[in-house]
Amino acid sequence: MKFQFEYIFPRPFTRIKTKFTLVVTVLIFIISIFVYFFFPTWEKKQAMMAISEKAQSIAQMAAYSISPAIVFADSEGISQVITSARQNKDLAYLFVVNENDHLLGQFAPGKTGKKSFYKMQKNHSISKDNATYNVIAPVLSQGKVIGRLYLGISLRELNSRVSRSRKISGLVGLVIFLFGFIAAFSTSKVITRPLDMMVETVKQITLGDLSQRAPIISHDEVGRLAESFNLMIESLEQRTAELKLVNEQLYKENLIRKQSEHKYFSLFNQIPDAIAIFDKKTKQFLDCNSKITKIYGYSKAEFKKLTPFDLHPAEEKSKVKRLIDTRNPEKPNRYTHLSKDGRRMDVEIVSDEIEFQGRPAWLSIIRDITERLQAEKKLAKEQHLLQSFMENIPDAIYFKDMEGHFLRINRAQAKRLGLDDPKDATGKTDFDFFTEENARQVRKQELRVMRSGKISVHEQVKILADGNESWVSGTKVPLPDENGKIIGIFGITRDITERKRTEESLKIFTEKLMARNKELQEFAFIASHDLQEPLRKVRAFGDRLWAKYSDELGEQGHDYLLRMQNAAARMQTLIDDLLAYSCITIKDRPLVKTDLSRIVREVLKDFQIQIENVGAAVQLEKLPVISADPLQMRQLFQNLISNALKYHRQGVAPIIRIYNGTTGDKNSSDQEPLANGFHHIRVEDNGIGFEQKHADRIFAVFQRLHTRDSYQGTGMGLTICRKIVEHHGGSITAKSRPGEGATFTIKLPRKPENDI
Amino acid sequence: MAIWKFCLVSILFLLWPVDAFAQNIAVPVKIQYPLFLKILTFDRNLKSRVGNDIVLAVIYQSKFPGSRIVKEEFEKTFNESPIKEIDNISISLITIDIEKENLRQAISAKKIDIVYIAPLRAVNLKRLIDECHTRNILTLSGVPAYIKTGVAVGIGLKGNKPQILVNLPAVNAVNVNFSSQLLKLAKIIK
Repeated sequence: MKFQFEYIFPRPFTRIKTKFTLVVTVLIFIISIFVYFFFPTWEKKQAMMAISEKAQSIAQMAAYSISPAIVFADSEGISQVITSARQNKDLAYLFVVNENDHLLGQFAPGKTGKKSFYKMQKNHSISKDNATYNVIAPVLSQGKVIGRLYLGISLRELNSRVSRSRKISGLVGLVIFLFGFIAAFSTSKVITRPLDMMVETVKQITLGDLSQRAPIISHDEVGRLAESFNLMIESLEQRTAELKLVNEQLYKENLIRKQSEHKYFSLFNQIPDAIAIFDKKTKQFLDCNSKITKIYGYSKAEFKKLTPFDLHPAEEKSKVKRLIDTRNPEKPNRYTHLSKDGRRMDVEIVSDEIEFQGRPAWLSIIRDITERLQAEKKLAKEQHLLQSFMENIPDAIYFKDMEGHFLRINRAQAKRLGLDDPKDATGKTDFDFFTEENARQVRKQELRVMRSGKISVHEQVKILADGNESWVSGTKVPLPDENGKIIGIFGITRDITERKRTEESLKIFTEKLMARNKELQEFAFIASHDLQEPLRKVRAFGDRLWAKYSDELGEQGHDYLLRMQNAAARMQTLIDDLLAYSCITIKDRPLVKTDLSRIVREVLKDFQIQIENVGAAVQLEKLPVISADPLQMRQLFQNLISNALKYHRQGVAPIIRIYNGTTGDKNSSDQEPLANGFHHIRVEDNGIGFEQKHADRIFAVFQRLHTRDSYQGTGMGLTICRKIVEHHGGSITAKSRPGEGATFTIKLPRKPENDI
Repeated sequence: MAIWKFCLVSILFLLWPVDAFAQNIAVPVKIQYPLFLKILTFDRNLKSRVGNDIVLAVIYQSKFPGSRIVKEEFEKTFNESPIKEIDNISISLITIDIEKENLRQAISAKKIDIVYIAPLRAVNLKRLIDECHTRNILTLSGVPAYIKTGVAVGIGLKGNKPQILVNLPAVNAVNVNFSSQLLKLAKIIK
């Protein structure tokens, strides 16, 4: 309404000068009027109050003074009091009456003949002619009214003073008004002139000329205003320039921000964790990154139709409903989530409040920790195993840092140190448990292990407090950190006192056994050697008997003699073999470099005729040169090749293959793992073979799998072979199946210093 | 019989018209004197009554020590006081020993204006006062009891302060016109 009114009747432009002059003139006029009326009225009021107090005071004093005069009818006293009161120039009249209104004294100049004049006056009143101020005061004696005083104070002087004051006030008001008007007019002109000039400047600036400045023609607020205005224009000029720069900067920043947003969205989608945003109120998913679709199997559109509750299994939903709005952004929560195909996943969720598209929302970062949890479980299991191992193993285990402080020990080590709880050892050293000499020795060993980085195995005897010996077997291993840097040492100590004692007993027993064995071998050697002599005589005399008396013996005698000769010959063979067996260990010849290939070739030469007779094919591959007794090696291969030729299948030409199994042979039927530090020399044939259950039996003394009629022999060949191999620190085994041949594997120690 | 006579004589002695039994002053003389001078200033008729000088007579009994001492103190106070006049009216002091002088003759002979009556005994005080008043002589006394007897002005004691005692008929009788201001301060005995 107001707008319409001003639109129809626009307010005319009124100059500040006019407004200021008008307002100040009206103000000064009001002040002048106020001065004219206020001061005389105020003065009169003040004077009237003074006169009233004065009249009251005079009346009271006179009444007090005149009281005894009335009591004692002292007319002269009354007169004296009246006379005394007349000393006041303003006293207009004074009447003294007794309690019966009988006039006792008076002072009433100009009122002679009007004795009852006083009776018309009222207390504290102004007379009708405005000439006197009237007061009536009672005269008291001992609290009793015994008369009254009628007293009037002249107002003549007061009236003249008020009249004079009014004239002066009028004159002063007029002067104020005139001077005020002139001053207002001049001041308004002084004030508005620079303002007018500033208006002109503003007009120029409005037109775009920022170089314009307001003239400063006065050193007052307007001058300061002009200065401030000019500063403002300068500032505006600078700001305009700065604004231009800022606009350019903002344009660049906006560009960078857009690039940053692009990066953010790229990050949002490429981050390895799944990110989902859901509405805080409705719980509806609002957005998600591409990882969500990979983990859960939902498309983005499908996922946005879900709420977080849809991702949880039924048993977890109540927990989720309770906690969904009370998440701690710094502490991840673990839940089970379901993928679209119902697969369960262990997830870790960190959530925080954000504002998404102008509404409050939760941003959840979801990490699939299924594999991690499985790994943690595995780790826990392994830790449990380690812990069980540590706690239950009878050997003492300890871990120490570089300074020799125990980091961890097991229960066995605690027991060894005399502690109830393994944790009590943490931070302590060997010096806290053992004698200084022992601890120093152990520390020296540990330092050596940590410096060298090599495992140390040692056995050590300690003299216990009771004087007994205690043997320990210790293994010290440098303890590396994850970067391989050695940060300490760990070790296992085993009490081997019992084992040592057993070893000692075994050693003594072995020595005794060896002595007896030697005696036995010597006995066998001597026995077999001594047996040869009577046997030779039996055979010699048998031959003589055959040569001289064969005709006389007859057919039966021939048969008996032949049988005796055969038995003696077999006896000779047995004794030879037994002697050979005994000689293996008794004749302890030094081992020399022996080329096994050469040995085998010489043996094959010896069997040349036999080979040709049976049509055997012998394959000899390169065999190693080892440290051995060449004669025994010859005996070994002679026996084995002999067996291979002897036990061939009927109608099948023997094939014998002799090779070094250490280098590996794809054609070999031997699937046994190769023992490190040994040569594996194999002798393979395609003979009649034997049951594998007889593999050990065939190496026993005089053991045979066939009758003497089927195959000749004493049953000592393989026994001698085993003896030779064992004498060289090796072993011999056999593998075979009936009708499929046999393979003999000779393991001979590989001695680097003797190998070529 | 003798006893009866003795009793009769005693009764007669008691009935003998002597009303001035020995009384004591209430206020010391040195206080009484300036007070009396001040009281006299309130007498508007003093000048017309006494002329240019005042003769103040002290009436006493020389054989009565109490009276004699008061008389002596009065003399001493008068002599020592610097005030010897009232409103330009000079004051002179005389003494009258009523045991040795005839009062009437003494008053006539010495033109006494004011009488100060010291404590007396066995004297007809009323007759003495009447004799003074008959001759317009203002009577003063320091004995409060004498004011009721007829002495015009006296000094009594109210609490610890002196009190002016005025026998108004006696004052009027001797043509003394005290200001009502004085009368307001005094105890009026009618």
